[in-house]
Amino acid sequence: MNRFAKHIVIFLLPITCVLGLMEYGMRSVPNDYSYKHSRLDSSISRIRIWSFGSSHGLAGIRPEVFSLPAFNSAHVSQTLPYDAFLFDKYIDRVDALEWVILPISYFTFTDCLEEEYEWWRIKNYCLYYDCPLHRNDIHYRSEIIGNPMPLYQQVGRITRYLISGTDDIRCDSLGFDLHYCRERREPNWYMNGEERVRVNTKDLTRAQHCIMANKHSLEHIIDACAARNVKVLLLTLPVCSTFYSNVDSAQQALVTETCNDLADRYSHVLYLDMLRDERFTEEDFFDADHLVTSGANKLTRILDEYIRLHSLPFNE
Amino acid sequence: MLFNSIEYMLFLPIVFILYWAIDCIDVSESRKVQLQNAYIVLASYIFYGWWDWRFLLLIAFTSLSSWGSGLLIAGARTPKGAKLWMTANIVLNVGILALFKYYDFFAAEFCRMLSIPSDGLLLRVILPVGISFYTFQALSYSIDVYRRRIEPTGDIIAFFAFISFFPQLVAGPIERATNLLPQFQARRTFSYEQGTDGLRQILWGLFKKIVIADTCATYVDQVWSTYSTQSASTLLLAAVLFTFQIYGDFSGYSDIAIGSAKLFGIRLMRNFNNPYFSRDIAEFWRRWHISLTTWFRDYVYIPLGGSRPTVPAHCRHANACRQARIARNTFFIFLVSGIWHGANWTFIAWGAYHALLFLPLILLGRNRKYTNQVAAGRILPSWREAAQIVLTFALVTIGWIIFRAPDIADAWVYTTQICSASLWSVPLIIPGTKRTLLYIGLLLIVEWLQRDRQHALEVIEAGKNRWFRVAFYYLLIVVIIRCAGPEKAFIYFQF
Repeated sequence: MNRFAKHIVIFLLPITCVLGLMEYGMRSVPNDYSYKHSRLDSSISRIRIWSFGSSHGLAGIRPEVFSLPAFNSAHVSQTLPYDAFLFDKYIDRVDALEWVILPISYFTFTDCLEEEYEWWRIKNYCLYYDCPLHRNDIHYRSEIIGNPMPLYQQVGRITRYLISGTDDIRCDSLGFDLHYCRERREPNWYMNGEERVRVNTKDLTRAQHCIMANKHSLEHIIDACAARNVKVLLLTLPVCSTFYSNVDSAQQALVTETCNDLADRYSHVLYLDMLRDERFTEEDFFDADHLVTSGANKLTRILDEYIRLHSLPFNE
Repeated sequence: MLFNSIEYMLFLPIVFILYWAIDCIDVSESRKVQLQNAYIVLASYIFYGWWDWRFLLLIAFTSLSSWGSGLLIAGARTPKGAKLWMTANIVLNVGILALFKYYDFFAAEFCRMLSIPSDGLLLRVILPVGISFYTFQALSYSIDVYRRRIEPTGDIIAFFAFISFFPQLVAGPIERATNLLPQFQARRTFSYEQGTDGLRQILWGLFKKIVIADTCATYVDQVWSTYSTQSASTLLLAAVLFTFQIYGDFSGYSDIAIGSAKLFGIRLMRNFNNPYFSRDIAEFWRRWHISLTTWFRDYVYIPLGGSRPTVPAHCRHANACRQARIARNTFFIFLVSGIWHGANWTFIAWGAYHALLFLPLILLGRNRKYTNQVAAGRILPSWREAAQIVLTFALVTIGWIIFRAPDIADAWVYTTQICSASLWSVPLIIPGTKRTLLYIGLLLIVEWLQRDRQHALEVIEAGKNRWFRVAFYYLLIVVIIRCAGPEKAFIYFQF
């Protein structure tokens, strides 16, 4: 038995040390999540417009274009329960907040991050925002287990950070993702709409639990905003014709009907559906359903104007 | 508690250390055995109760009734009395199984047939994890006592340990009392070789579950959720990946179970023997879920007459009668095997499909043509063997489509959709698909090279290629850690 125990320890020791060091190293490299967390911590009290959402919001809403101080808390594949988590985490410190912008995309109600192939992003909320969800699941508590990046790339990332200080931050200081620029755009960028729709179309019956969870989170944010006299703008961002011409009508109806219903029921909720907005041309897009930086500037200017028009207190 | 969970990674070493610590207590050997058995029962009940403690009563009841029936069968004064006790135990346990597993299905189907509402008739009870496994294990004991293959035991703790032994409690292998019970009645000693062999087998089981099954599942689930819009090539790839998913899932579980048992000085029976290297369907069934197949063979098929049924004296065409009875027995056994997996027409259809594949072989007397290992003594198979393996694999894959489908109509549409022009298009590739195919290649290479061993990482000569082996184990650990996603339950838990 002693020999058995000794050999197990000798066998496990090197791999435990290597993996432990890698975990520490990976967490040390700054990324969008840790950066936004620190930015929010330092500037949250000044924010008057606060936007959330997935990559659509991340690439489409540029806080620096607003005439009011704003911050973009969107992350790739972020679903409404994680919007609600971030909202709850900081809301008591956002004293000047006037507007919350919630991008509602084609897949917003039908996606559950836990069930998508980007489930691994949950670990970023756990590690960098101290999210209490999935507290006991190690897969959401570890970079080397949770990160889909191959191990050799993880080693490369740590090494680059240690040698040249290269970090993994893609957003600006107000949370807008600078990655969706014209130079990075692929040829025929607007043509992948059908594929993007297919990937994001769900069987509504099977997705009922996701729809319920997302609606619950959305109503939670709306109620909390009402208590603080904060207006909520539900926004469906513009997409390419290759995208909107292929959407499943029932899934799209779920988005529009739910948002219209909320706008009708709550006086502080507004719904702006820009899915087929003709002011946006192919040149404004990074791909079929993400805006390029110039498109984001255009959209944010429109939103700024819209907010200015609707900025009277909602009870007047 | 799942084998691929962090809880189990902590549970196993704790139980292991305390189990062998009991062996160091200064008491008589028989007392040590009793204490270790009691400890195994406690640990197993914690293991099972982690999922749902309410069903512990059910396991305890099944154990108690089978243990009691064993004593009553042996104590019966007449063979008729013994048979009565055995039958009573079978009816009781199969009744519980039927109530939990099949009642709702048959009640709903019955109501559907009569076009009456079923809501008032359905029980909607949760299916206790592993009920089919431990019920069959308990039944085998009372039948074996009746057949005088084993003496009934008066040691209730050893018997409870035999039924509830946690490594094989929820998904097998379905052990026989003749193999497992004597091990709980004898002193166990720790063996370094057995312990390390167990760890190697656990490692390979985790590889099969986490790296093969769970990564295949990502693709398979995505394709099945939208299969009507997918190309034929994508459907075919998903069908092949599901073939590996279910193998990795179930044989991975069995490897972890057998490996874990070895750490406690217990040897469980082999459950899989490289089924996808089979040259025909009969060989496949000798290598797939061996513990269930042999259970049905010994307790259902042979009592029915098996492949040598008695022909009634009044039958004019004895050979035709014999063939008809063989066909009946074969069909029956495959249908029962199908429905054992669950209350759904797809499982019944899957059993019937395999019966149709198996029947020609048994009627022509060719069902035992391949009993040796393929390409024995050679590195590569012959062209003929390779073609046979591919053909058998293809037939099995079609069967898995039926098995995986939500209902028969879906299985039909899925299969017919594969036979379309888009079969030659490039299949859908999602992130991780190429890596999954690479891992499957690794699985096939290792299992092929080690096909004459008890498991893929079994070592015959400990000193040979030591550093290479250690490096390979590290590689497996790294790959397992990298592929570990949110815990996915084993497919066979639902059965």
